[in-house]
Amino acid sequence: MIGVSSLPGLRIALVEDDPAQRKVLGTWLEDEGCRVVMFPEADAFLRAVGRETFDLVLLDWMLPDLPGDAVLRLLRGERRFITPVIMVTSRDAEEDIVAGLAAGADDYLVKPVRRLEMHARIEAAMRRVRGYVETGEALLNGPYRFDLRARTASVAGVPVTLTDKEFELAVFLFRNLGQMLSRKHIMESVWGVRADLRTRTIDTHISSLRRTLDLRAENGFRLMSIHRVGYRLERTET
Amino acid sequence: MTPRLGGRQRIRAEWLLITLCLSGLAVAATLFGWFRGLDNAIHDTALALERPSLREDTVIVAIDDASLRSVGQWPWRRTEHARMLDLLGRAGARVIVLDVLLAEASDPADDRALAEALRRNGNVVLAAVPGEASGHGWDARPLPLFATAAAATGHILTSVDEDGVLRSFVPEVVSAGERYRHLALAALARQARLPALPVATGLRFPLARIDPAQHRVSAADVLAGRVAPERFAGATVFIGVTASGVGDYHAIPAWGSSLAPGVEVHAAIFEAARGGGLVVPLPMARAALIATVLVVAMMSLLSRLAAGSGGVFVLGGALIVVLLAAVLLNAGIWWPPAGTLAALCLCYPLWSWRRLEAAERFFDEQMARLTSDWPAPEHASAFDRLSSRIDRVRALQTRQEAEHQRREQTLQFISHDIRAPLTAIISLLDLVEHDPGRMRDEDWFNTLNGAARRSLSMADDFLRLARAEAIDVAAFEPVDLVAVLEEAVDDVWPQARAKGGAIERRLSHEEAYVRGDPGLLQRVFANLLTNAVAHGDASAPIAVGLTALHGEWAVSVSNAPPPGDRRSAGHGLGLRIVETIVAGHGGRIDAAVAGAGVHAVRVYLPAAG
Repeated sequence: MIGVSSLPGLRIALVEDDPAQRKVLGTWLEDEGCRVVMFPEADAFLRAVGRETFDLVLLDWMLPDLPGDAVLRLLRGERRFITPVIMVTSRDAEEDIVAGLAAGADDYLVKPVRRLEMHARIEAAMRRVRGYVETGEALLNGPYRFDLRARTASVAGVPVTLTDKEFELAVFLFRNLGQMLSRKHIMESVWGVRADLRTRTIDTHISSLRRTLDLRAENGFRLMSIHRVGYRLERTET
Repeated sequence: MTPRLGGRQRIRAEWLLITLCLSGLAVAATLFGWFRGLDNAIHDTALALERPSLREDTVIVAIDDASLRSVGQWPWRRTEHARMLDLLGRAGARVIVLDVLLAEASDPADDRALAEALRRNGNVVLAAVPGEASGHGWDARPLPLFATAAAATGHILTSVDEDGVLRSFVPEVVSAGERYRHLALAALARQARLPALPVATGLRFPLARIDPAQHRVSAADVLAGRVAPERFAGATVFIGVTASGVGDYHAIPAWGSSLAPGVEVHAAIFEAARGGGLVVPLPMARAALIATVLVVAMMSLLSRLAAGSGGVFVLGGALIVVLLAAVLLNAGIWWPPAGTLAALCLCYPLWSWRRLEAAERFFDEQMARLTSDWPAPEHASAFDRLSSRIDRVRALQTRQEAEHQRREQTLQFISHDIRAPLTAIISLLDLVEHDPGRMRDEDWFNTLNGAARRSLSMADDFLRLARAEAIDVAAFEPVDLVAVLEEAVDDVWPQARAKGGAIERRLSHEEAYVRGDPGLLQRVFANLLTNAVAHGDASAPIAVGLTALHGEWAVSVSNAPPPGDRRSAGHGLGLRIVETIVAGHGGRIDAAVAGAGVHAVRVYLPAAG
């Protein structure tokens, strides 16, 4: 995966007060061919934002001068900053994640950050910004094959019967592999803008996809719920 | 529903109510003399402590038993009185008070002789009982013959209290258009300016000490010339009957004997008036004001008082009230303190009672708060309620002990378990620094890595436990156990794979809803699975099963070391997190042997309705 990195050339702002973390993440990103600008505190970063442009920001959640959600609110509110921001938290507390996403973060990473996970998150965030271009008539990933024209699916060559919505949901998840998808986003994309479904509808469809497509760690995939926020389909590290 | 008063406001309102009631009681008791007996006792004692002595220039000429024996039966001929007046006049008496009623005519010659003696002397004050003012219709005023000859006439009316004791006199009465001063005041007016006194009020007076040897002479001795004339020079002489059966005797408070002849009472009033010792009763409005001020002061003090000092407070307060009355009395003002004393005695028990009620209310509220998650006690009688309260306190105590034990465990955990990997890291770094090459790079790196990760996982578990303990039932939502279990298996899958094993999903239901916190529930099963992967029998498969029971879901994790097993303990927190979360969801855990020595841990959770 690292070998076929899609990250070279990205200009990334790394806002992190801990020198060790800064060093590790900075080194990994440079290894991927990124240009990394490091900031030990929010203040320096916010001043730089006015002068420089970045492709992506890795933002620590516990900065000494300003909490991460305050930084985000400043950026997304007054400055109309649209660059993707991935927050880095030191605990996987649900309330932190919900607050971060509400403040405008695109995704999150929990410390200690694993290299592959970081790579996948940045890649997914960049894919969303650059837009996904469909090539061909089928979507292929691991044992899964989705024929976009015939609207049929198969797992390891065995055809699987999916309902219309299940098919659309599956395609949507695979197209946004690795991305965190909010319930609202899923609803609007699969069921349409005027979606006022019961929240359980998404959950039951996710459950049934997991069952019928066997979307499980055994098949190298993981359909993960991010409580109170949404879902993420990701490849497991096998 | 009326809004409930807050505890503080309520206690303030009760304080105000008690203060108002007690002020009312004190005022009414003061004005209407509800505790007159106590008032009199205090009055009499206070006055008895500061009795003046009759001055030496006051002489009482007693018409006593000896006089009757030597001069003859009472009433005496009026010539005897005339002779006495002449004798005293010659001796230089300044004023003579003749406390003998001259209301009826006797032998005209004798009467004339007395009238002449009166006129000759010119300083004799006569006694009168003015009819209209006497209250019983008895009129005994001196005959005009005498009245015109005397220097003045004074009334001898006294007011006797309900207990029959004489404590006060009226300074001035009006009868048949004539004003009569009290006899003693009429005598004083002959030689000095009278102090300004309220005329119509009953005045009180201290009883002057009268020493019979010093102040009293027998009329017989005077008439017989056995008393030195110097004795009477410039003196005020009171002549009156003291002989038994003839004289007028009054019940007197605390005066050695309880009876005193009228003439001595008059002498005492004379002494009091002369020495400024007359006592004016306080007007009602002011007496009520003092009582009110004292009650409010006591209640204010009481509200600031520490519990348990009530006895001292009541005693000290009583002493102050009595002292105040005594000081006022000494200053010539009578304020009856008994009503205020009664209020003082009541204020402590009343206030304590209200405070106790408030404390009990607070106690009940706190108990309700502390035990809000307990089943409500059945309706019980008052007595049972007390015992149920006691039971609850006991249960709380037990709970507190459990908390204490948990805290001890936590401390133990921090002091030992959390420190262990960190100290290992430091020792290892020491070793590498001082003895490089002793360990292979790979070895010490792996050890270091393991210790650091263990340390981090403990810190995480510690936070998770804290979150599990603060579980909020109100925030529960419907949770699909199937999805939770699938994700828990996905979570642990990489670890199982790393050990070369697998986790079998035996989830035969499409969905299984419970109410709860999805994150915490996933943590329960991830922990149990991690345990199974780490400590289970490597040769046996790990399986997760889901079964519908009556009203609950049972999840079994096979090949997991049962709770209590040393192997399942890990660093001790993992299982505690599991137990805490399951208990918080109203569930339970048990362990079963699933054959061939392989254990299964089962978690039961109530199904969502």
